[in-house]
Amino acid sequence: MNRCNRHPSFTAFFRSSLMPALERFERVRRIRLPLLIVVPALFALAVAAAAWSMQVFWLFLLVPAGFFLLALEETIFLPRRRRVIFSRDIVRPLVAFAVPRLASQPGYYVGQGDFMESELYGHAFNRYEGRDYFKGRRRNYQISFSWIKAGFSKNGPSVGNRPDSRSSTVFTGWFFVATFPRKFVGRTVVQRDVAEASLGWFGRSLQSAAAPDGLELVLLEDADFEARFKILSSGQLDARYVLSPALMRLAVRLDKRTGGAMSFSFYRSCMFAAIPSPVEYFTWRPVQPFTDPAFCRQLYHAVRGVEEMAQHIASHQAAWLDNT
Amino acid sequence: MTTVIVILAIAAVLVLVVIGMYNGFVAKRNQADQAFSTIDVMLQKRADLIPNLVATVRQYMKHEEATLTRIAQLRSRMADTHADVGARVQADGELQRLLGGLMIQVEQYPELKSNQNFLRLQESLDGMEEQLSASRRAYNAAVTVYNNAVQMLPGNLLSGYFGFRARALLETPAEDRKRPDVKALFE
Repeated sequence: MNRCNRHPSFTAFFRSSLMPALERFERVRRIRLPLLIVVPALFALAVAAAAWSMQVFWLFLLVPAGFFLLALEETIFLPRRRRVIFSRDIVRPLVAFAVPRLASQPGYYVGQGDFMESELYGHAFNRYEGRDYFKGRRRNYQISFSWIKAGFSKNGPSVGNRPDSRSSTVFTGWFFVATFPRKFVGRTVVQRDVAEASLGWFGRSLQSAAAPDGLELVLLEDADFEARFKILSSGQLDARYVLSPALMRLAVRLDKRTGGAMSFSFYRSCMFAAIPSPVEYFTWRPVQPFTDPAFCRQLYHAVRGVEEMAQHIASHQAAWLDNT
Repeated sequence: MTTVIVILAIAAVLVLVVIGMYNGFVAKRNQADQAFSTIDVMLQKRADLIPNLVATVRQYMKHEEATLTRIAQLRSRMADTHADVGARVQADGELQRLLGGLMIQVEQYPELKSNQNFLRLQESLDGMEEQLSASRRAYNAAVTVYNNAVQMLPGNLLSGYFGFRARALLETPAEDRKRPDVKALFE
């Protein structure tokens, strides 16, 4: 059975609004793919001919020049232009369909301060960039999100003949911030449960021992939620105030629909949610078709799911500091 | 001599294990007590809200005098700190049901529904209910950890000797567990 059938409204929207734009990308890809094969082949032919006879020397100069220009266009100029078109024709309509009335600012992104305050990925990064920022005010809260890429790179002094340079990606994906007019009780951080899932009770003991200052490991009653996430909070009760059974069900559903890697936290007046993707959401893939709805489905469910969680929290009275 | 040292070493290890287990029982029992005291504080806070609520509602709901009087009585019973914990929890259960029924009755009084004081009290009461629910979950989690320590091996070998007994969880009243009759709500 086609997975799209489970989301009839999304499927209909995808076919009617997104598919034409994706097919335009697909047509360009099909035209350029033969070029990428033919030009290098001509280059190889020219080199062979030049080696055999100096009479085709002009071809030897012309073809590599063409190849150089094509490569330059493919790697520097076109990806940026295509990304802008992708944001305009795919991302923006998709977000408008998932959650209406959000303003789009393609060149902006969620601030580094918010990303650090979430405590989801620590502070060990020195590269931070993003794009496709969306922001909107709902009835009693504000939601904003963007694509974020955070990483760490170090260029230290050379050790012997080898330069000491390291680079790693901390987070790549969609990062959401929902801001409420009231403050949460304490701080609660919900992350992937890796240690307990792989090491059992020993992993849980490690998580408990390695909890940051001011936070303790909390075991909640929802088995499905508990199996997916580890919960660190400023108190057993603080975590339960905000993580109601209904919110845990929403979080599990969102996690299942977005690839099972999300994490989220609550601090001061904000709920932060991070939904990672293994790769850049738009990359020009010469040998892969563009009409795969996987990315669109993930973004649709991410935006819808975070909005549902924020709506639930806004109407949930227990979570707020002024009620305690 | 060596035998004596070995026996003493084994005895010392056993004593340390017993001390560790005893402290573990006490810590877990204290956590459960602390969770219960939080529930107690919240019940008290909710009881403090009720006189204002009853006073506001009484101005509009003249026909619900019997219910309001009963709510006031239950509130007094809950506020009595000398009363047995079980009796207070039982009074809380009845109070919760009566308040739930009262909030449904409010739908028939549009003036009351638009009263700002009532709306504020209702919001506070809703928040308190949700926090009570969270506190009950925290208490049940703490009691489950304690009960596991007391009832599972090797804890059960010593827990009875030291007087640690398994505790009952706070369960939802049977009335609340019934499936709501949605059809009846619309009649």
